[in-house]
Amino acid sequence: MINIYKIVVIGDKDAGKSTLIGKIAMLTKAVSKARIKESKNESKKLGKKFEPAFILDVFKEEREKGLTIDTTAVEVPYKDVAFQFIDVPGHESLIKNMLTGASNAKVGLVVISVKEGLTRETKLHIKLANMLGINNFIFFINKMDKCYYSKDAIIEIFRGVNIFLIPLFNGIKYIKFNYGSALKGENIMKPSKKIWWYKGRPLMEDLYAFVKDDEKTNENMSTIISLQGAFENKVFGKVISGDIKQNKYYYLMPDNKKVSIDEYNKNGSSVSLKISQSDKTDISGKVLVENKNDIMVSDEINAKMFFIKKPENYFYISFLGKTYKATLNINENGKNFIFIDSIIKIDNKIAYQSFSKIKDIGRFVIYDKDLKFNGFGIIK
Amino acid sequence: MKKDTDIKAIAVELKLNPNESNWEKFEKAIKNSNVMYYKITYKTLNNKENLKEAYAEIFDRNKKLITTVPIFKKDGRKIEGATIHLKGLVSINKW
Amino acid sequence: MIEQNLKDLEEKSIYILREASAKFKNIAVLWSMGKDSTTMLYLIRKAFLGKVPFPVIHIDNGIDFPESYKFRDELAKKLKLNLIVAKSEIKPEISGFSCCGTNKTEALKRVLKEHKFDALIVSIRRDEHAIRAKERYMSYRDKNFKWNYKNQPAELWDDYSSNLDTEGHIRVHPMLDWNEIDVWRYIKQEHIPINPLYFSINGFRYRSLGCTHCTVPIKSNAKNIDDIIKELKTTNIEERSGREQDKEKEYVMQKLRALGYL
Repeated sequence: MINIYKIVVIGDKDAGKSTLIGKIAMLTKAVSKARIKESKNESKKLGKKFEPAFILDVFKEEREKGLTIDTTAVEVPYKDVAFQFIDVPGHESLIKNMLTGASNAKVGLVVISVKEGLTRETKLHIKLANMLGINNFIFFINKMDKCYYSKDAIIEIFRGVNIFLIPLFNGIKYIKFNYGSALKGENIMKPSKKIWWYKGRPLMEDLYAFVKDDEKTNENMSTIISLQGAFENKVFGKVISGDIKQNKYYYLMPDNKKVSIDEYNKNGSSVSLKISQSDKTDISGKVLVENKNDIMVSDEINAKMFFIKKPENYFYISFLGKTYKATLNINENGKNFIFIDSIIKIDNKIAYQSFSKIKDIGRFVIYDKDLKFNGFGIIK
Repeated sequence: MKKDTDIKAIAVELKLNPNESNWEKFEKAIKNSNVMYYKITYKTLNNKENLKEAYAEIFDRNKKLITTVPIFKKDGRKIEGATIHLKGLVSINKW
Repeated sequence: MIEQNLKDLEEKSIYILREASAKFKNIAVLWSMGKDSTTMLYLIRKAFLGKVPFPVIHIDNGIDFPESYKFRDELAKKLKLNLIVAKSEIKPEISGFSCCGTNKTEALKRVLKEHKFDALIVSIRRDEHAIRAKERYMSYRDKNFKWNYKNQPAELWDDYSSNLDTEGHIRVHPMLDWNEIDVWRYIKQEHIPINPLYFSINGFRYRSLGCTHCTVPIKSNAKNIDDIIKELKTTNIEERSGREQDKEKEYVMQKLRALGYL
């Protein structure tokens, strides 16, 4: 049994992300010969020269346009682990696909073209990835073949990235710089003789070191269970922290009712419970806590939010699987792709915690008036 | 134990008139018999009329051919596939 | 092939199934008697206190394998399934797909409309085919079954809120993360009954099951689950290489998905 680590690969559309993942998949033999052959045949038919990126860009439109429309997860075995590279679109118009791909990753692999440097779009993606919960980043400066693998070319980028990272919201734990060429396969699996001035490890080795160093994030906290819904005489939920103890009292929040768990069944963190609370209507989105001090209850929350389309005076949020109406005081002229720090009022009380303390109950998805996805928020 | 000759007879009736009741007779017949394997052959399959050109060979436990049967049923004007009636047999299709 | 942690996979699938049951009023499960959809039935039992509390749909084109029909009827009885057999007609189709493809979609549309199902649990996996690698855990289909692959919903963290358009339906994919070998390892672990077609007779077996017209057996001597797992660890052939329809171009499959075929 192998642990799979999710790596989101972000960066500008021409930085070469798909080429990098495609190349890694080919070098580690993760993609079957059949799939490589199919991709080669397809590109021949389209009159295009085969590129490693084609392995991922399976949608016809993607191949013909030369851009990635949606996310693809490619699994790659490496030593005693596996990486799942999530290739996300770089275009602003496809930001929601990028957010989906990044939201469940543990490490961000930022691909920067040595020719373009750190672009506005890449900065936005790093900021979003960090806000979604990613604290560890590897910066891969790609296309080094285009600048003759010279060290001078990377100094500006190096400086720019470090300055950019300082004020990020969510605390950066580890970063590492790496250099190479995805297309030529330089410094990906093996050290490159061409980058003589770089004494570090090749990219895959760096990734491996990163994930192996992954500390346990869950401290031994008291029990918090988020509830999904009721079924027959049971209730389904997910253990977010702590563990379930039978015949112990818990508090159903935000209702502030004392309940006991009479029976339970676990599949990892997915649980089914028999609780003493008889009225189980509307139980979705509520939480059971051992210690009331571990959570907060309110219908007004202070959040940092990212909106794709400019926000209007009311919108919807999805928190722990339940939808709520939220209102926001907008005093300035809104813009698209905007970060807003503000208090929002919700049409019902919720039990929550700040994102930096407990991620699972400190985040929400934002929908616009027409219930179309429009961003996300982190509770401060 | 149903004899091979009985099964061949039912197969003839089935080829003439593959209706529900004949198929039921066939299914009952093969249940307690020597029949063990089947092999289905199609020519083309662009519409349900093509089902009439396909057929199933049925074999005994020694893989000796007993007879062939259609693979469709027709009740009134409606034609549909009928491989369900070969339930209990084992495929030895090899392309 | 990467062998993942079965407990983690199971846990996530159960979570997604329970999310679906909290969100949707009228759910059905699609069953083809293949190893994936049969495993799904057992995952559903784990999620819902030992029961399959949703109707189970078999889209039947009439020429499925006799072994599959037998397997279907026996398991349906054993698990006390609410089985709906929706008959699909073999029709002329412009793109050349006759027994699989559009006519199956029509049968599915009919069943969905008749029973007013708002969500369908489907056992597809990301590793089955490149196109499937683009799917979401919950994916919206409009009333014409079109999959707007260019404009998929967002799925952040473990939030599966979706478009609440009442005319379409949602496809739920709890097994998206499972690999082929994970499914077999789970089948072995849980003693899940399996369609005998997967096991070798005469030096041939089926690795992937369609109907009698479009499925081709592969050369193999794997007679039981252990053999199959061993075989998978060393094989280079893609799972669906015995399915005629997949030899068509990838974008045709994409077209099929956009039309609503599985």
